[in-house]
Amino acid sequence: MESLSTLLAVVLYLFSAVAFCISECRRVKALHPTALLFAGGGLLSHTAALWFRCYETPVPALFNTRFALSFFGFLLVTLFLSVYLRHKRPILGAFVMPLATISVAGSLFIPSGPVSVNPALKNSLVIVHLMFLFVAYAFFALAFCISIMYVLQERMIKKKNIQGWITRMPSLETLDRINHSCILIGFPFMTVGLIIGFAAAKILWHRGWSGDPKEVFSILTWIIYAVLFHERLAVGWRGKKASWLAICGFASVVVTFLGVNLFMKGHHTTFTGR
Amino acid sequence: MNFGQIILIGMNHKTAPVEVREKLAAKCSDASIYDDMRAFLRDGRLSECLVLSTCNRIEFLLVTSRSDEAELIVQDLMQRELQAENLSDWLYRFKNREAVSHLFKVASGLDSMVLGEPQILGQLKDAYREATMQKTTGVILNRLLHKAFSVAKRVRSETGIGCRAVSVSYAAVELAKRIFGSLIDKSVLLIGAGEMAELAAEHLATNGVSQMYIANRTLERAIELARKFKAKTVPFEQFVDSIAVVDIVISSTGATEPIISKKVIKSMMRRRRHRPLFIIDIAVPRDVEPEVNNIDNVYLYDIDDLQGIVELNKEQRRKEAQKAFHIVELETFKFIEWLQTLDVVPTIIALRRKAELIRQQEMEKTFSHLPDLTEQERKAIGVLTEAIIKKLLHDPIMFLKNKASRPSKEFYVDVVQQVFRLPGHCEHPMRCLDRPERECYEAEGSCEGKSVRGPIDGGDY
Repeated sequence: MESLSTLLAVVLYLFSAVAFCISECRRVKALHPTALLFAGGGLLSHTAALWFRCYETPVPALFNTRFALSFFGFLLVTLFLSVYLRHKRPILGAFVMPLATISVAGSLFIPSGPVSVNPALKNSLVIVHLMFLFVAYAFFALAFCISIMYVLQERMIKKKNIQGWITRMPSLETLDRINHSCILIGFPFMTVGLIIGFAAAKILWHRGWSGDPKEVFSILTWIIYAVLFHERLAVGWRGKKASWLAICGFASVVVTFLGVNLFMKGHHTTFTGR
Repeated sequence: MNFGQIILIGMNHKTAPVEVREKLAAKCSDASIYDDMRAFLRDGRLSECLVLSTCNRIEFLLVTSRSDEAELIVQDLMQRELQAENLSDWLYRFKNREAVSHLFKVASGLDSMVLGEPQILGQLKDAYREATMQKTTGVILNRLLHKAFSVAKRVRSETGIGCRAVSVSYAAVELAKRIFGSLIDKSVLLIGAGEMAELAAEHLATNGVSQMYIANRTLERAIELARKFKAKTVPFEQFVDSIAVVDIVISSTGATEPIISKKVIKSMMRRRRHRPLFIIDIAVPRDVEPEVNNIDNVYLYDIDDLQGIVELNKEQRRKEAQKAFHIVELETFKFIEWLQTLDVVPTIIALRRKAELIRQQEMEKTFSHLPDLTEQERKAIGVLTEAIIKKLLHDPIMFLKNKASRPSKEFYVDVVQQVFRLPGHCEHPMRCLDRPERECYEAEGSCEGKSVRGPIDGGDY
């Protein structure tokens, strides 16, 4: 049931992404409601999939890369729809929905593997740690999409060549404001998530820092966002620089999240069902 | 009521020089023009009329059965004002399909000097309001004008013809919106107070800019503008300081050397905490060093850049206009089709009238035989009989309406008239409307003395 409804969700997300892209590139306004409907339907189906998953699987075996990716996609779509409700700019969908589709579709391709139940996952601290990080990553992903839009539009305005679908983007200030809020919310979540993670490690293994690749990359990611957070609030960084940093930050998130899970060994890999 | 052809006679910016249009506009934009027109309406030479007069065009939209005379009437009217010999060189005349299509184009701004401009629709609406107040419009013009408004709306929503700025000052406003989103709570600094700057400022002000600062070498002019925009004046020597607080700078001084350097803006950006700054340099030679554009969060546009955008947008509008022309042609076709159904309307009315007459007579007869019927029963019988004739006539009426756009419609009208023995005479109200080729079996002239004319309820068909 779970993979079936995930598959349905992926298909609906894909339709929604395609509809958003077509409607933005070809100026077909009539496609917007359809695209939104697909996204909403996908989200429902996705909710069902996650619910099945939680219902069928004992908690410790729940958290593998597959579930994590899927959950990340779920949060991203939810976030997109809530931002859409406020700003009503369908072009956001053309950027966010493909990313969500890729992440959820990717979750289908990652083998679940033999579920090795790590006793650490019985610890509720670990689960809170994961939840906080997912929320942070979803916000960072949105910031990433918004940043790409910002950079593209900014380049167009600087080059004085404004035409095509770029003209349907929200204004630079609006994009920057959304970006700002994403970092402002995402960063504290990440910080708390990491602190809880280290606390849990301390409790479980009696040492907070074990130097495994995931930890190293997480700290690197955290530093990038910490710089961005600080510069935005204290120095008033904004615009292009802030956007590029948000893009780098998300690239680092992807490495931390996927690269390490799939290609490197460490104590985090045991959680991810590989 | 007497139907006729739709005639449109007029001149616009392409056909007539401005002096001529000015003279006529003075006369035609006055309500008194309708006093002249009413005389012709009364003596039957015209059946409906509307006068559209703007600074770029004067057009007479007429419905008449005597088209040649109508043309003369309008020319006479204009001649009285102008006393020009070559008047008819300046005029264009459109009939029926062409007139309808032309009106639709005018309403959608496709015939305007600035392609796709929206003001003309408002002007046309005003002209129509005036004409309805003067009671010079009837079934055809009412329908035509309403259709023109909806065509204009359709063109606006389905094509991008009106969505890009085609004037420099408006292009500046659009850019500002692209950068800042809403302009409410944004502030502007005018350096130099030339006419162009004033125009741009006016556009910005109507878009909600909250505060304006004016720095000008001559204080009188600054004060004059400040009063107009409720702005603050700034000493010209200290305008640099205000750059720290404003969001948009419009520079238009006559200085021969750049007065705003990259260094100054760079230091300002730190003071501004990198809030975006939009600089519009409309001075020639330029007031702002072009390298300023390389600073992050600063967007510098000079007059050439803005002109470039305007050219690009104009090109875009021309492309969109092709789509708009297609819509206009489609809607013209539909309207002409409706016009042609007017041909069968008299027959339909005659048919209904005859049926109603029979019903009334038969009911009277029946009621006189049955005096004991209660009011309720009488009503029920009335409803019953009404329903019967309605249902019975539905098919023949639909048949006629369907045939209305066919070249052979007169044949069918004739048949219906003979089958139901409808009284009437030959004059088809829309007889002269240009039609497609006649089919060979059509009995031309066979309806002599059989058609009927009656009051037309425009809303019904």
